[in-house]
Amino acid sequence: MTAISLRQVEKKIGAERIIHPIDLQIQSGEFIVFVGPSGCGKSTLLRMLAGLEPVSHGEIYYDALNVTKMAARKRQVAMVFQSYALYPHMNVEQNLSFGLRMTGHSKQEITRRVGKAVDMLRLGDYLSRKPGQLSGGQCQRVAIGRALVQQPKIFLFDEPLSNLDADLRSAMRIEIARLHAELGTTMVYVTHDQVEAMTLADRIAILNAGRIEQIGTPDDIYKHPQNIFAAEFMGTPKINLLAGEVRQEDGLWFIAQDEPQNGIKIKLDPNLCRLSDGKKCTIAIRPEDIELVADSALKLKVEHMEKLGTNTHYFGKIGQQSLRLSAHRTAEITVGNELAIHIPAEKLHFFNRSGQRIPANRSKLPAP
Amino acid sequence: MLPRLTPYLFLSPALFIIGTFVFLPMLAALLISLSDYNMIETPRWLGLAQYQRLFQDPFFWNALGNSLLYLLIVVPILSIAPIFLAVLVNKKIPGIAFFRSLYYLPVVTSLIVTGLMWKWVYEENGVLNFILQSLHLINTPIAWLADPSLSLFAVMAVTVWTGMGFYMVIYLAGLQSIPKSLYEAAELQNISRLKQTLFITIPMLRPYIALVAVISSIAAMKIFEEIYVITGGGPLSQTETLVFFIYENAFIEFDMGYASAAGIVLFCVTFILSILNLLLTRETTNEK
Repeated sequence: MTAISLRQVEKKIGAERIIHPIDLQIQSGEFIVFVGPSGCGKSTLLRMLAGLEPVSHGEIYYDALNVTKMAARKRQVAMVFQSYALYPHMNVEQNLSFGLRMTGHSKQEITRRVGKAVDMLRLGDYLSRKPGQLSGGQCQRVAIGRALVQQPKIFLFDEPLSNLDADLRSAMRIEIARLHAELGTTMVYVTHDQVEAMTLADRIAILNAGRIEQIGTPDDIYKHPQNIFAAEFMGTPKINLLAGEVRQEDGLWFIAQDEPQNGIKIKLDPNLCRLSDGKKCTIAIRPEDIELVADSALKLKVEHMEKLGTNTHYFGKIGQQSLRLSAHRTAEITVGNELAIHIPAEKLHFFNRSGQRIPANRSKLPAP
Repeated sequence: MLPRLTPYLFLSPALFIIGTFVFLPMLAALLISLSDYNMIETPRWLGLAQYQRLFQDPFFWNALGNSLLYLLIVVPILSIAPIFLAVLVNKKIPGIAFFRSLYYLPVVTSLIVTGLMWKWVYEENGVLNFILQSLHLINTPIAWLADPSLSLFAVMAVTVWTGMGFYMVIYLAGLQSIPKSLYEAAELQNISRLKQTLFITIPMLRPYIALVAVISSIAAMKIFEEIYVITGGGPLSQTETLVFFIYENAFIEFDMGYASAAGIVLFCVTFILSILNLLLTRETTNEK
């Protein structure tokens, strides 16, 4: 079990900064997921942790050991690659044992470790097959097995499931979670898939353009996004964003700026909102937090629907403002209908003009 | 009707050229090898007499032996050594393109030029002897080309030198097709660079090695220019290869029938090698 700490870790390629200075503590035994859009630097960060990519500035520690300049092969970490990186000329068993054979482990030790990995990942039926004769999911299990037999201090996963189809992906997610529960090894996992991030992580770090936008538990990030990027990145369908301003007139109101006359007007709870009259801001609300009501001044004209069985996503407009909402399936609603909706004040998130969260006025919150 | 003929219509120009310049001469050679054609008199039909004569001719066996010796020594060297050269120039080092071009230079240089250059290198008072003497490795100059026990090997060295860059490029293409992540995986498994080369690179290059073995063995059987320029087949026919034997009989002795018979034998040997190598390549490709 190894803790990782990054101190002002930075990556430059030429004059361009790929990773801006990052400070990050990863607890021993933690499962941390780096998530972000492609090109955000998440894989680069992982490769720096592995020692496959030199660090331009700053330091990386494994526990108290400074590994910044240590060669990858000395670090005792194992990595599972997106492309699996299995040796195509070796069969499954040879792939699993290759590293151990090359580093002078005893026969019994190799048999024991490989046997254990084979059992854990249920690879027994494919031992004599070559990677070319395996499916994507089987290849990925072998790749994980190969990491397993190394008994590494840290497991690194670089988008391991992105080449698999949806079914396999969810099955492999469960396997990886089970593996972490059994081994308790520190795991760092890179993905662009928010579902993987939400389901696997103890903590998620959301990266964007070489910076960590937010770091926290999946729940925390989902419920308290620290900025608009984090709010938008997590959740399907995407969170609704409305730009506008706060108005004090017969109570505290939010007026969406697109439609000052007849557009969206939302009643705010002064206990939950710090903003005063005239303040510009962006509010956000998750699609599932919008309620369908019998009657309301806010009417969403449905333009498109996605029926997902238990839930349905409705995409529509109020005036010019697009809105998404997710609700239990209601059979009678069709495209073109107008839905009366209620936007509950207690579910709103507030962001300032630079996209940072404006915390709720907690001092005024009633004691739970 | 037309659609069925169309593909053949497209093939016909190429078929016509190959037919005229490859298959027709092959057929002609087969016929000539059954006669005593000498370019002047009307050829007489001899049946298999030329072949009988060939198999009783010690010069033919000497030439065939030299060709096979060439094959046995040059092909393994040219199949293995360029791998290491390719591994070297596959590194991302500043100016590596210069070295790649440098190693490829002998390939694009005319064999006549390289032949003359090496002849000068091998001279009794040539560069090689000068270097060896300066280093006090030898006291008296060695007659590289005049010594019957050395001359064939001296010419082989030239073939290796000229071929190295060509096969290096083939291996370089092979190396660049190996995903980088395999080496990264190996690196994280604490596998040394040498072991990575031996157990990952070389096995992954197997189809390329098979290809190089095919090309270089066919090339080895057809060695001519180096011999012609550097030794002229001497000393004492020690560097006379099968193609050189054919050349001598055809264009010096004008014994076309006899030369054609030797040519047919050469064709058979090359053909067998090609089939052998084709099977070998197919096997490695199927494995993928």
